[in-house]
Amino acid sequence: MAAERFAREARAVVTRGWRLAGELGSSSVDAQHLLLALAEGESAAATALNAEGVDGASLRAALEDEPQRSLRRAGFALGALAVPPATPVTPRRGRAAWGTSAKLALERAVKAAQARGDSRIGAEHVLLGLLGARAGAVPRLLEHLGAGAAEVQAALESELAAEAG
Amino acid sequence: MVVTAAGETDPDDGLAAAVALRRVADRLEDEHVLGALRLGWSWGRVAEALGVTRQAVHKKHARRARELGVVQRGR
Repeated sequence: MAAERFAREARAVVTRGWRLAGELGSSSVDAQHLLLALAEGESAAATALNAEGVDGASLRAALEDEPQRSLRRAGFALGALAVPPATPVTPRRGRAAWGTSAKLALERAVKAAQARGDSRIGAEHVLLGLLGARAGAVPRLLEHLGAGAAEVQAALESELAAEAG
Repeated sequence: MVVTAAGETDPDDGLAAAVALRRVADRLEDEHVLGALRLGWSWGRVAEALGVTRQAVHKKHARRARELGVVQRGR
């Protein structure tokens, strides 16, 4: 993954994702942090996400509730026990800071750019990489927000077409 | 604090409860990894759901999955 192939906005997404992970109490940067960074940014990917109801505020709320929601859906009634609110941490620097889900998303972003014949990796490719997840936090959050991966991708394609046109 | 009444809970009870929760979490993972494999999920998809590498989930669960006949040898 050559960093110089990442366009400015894609690099900004990665940087913001890193900061958001710490803000949300995660010691690793995971796919959901990149999704939030995208949704709160300014790009065709952000416009597509926001149009499908995935904006910063709803995503932050969904992220905060996700542990409790998962436990409930698996049949756990916690009673007095609550999943603690996130305490900001400082993520480790370097390679160790990257969670598996984020690495997979960025690998898929590179592949998406190659498949489209794009020489630079932009925010739109990062979004495509995130949408490619078959399991984990990103598909769960999108489902919770009523945004299907196919619909988000369609919104992205029309946004990109509008920009190009 | 995680537990609302943590201030009044004896540390001995609280620490024992943490151990118990870890056992519950391990058991939950064991059951659902097998369940996912039975449904035909790939190791990669299971790994993605757990947020770990494919190698990590395979190392942890492959032997048990083989022993229980959920996956074939070599997978």
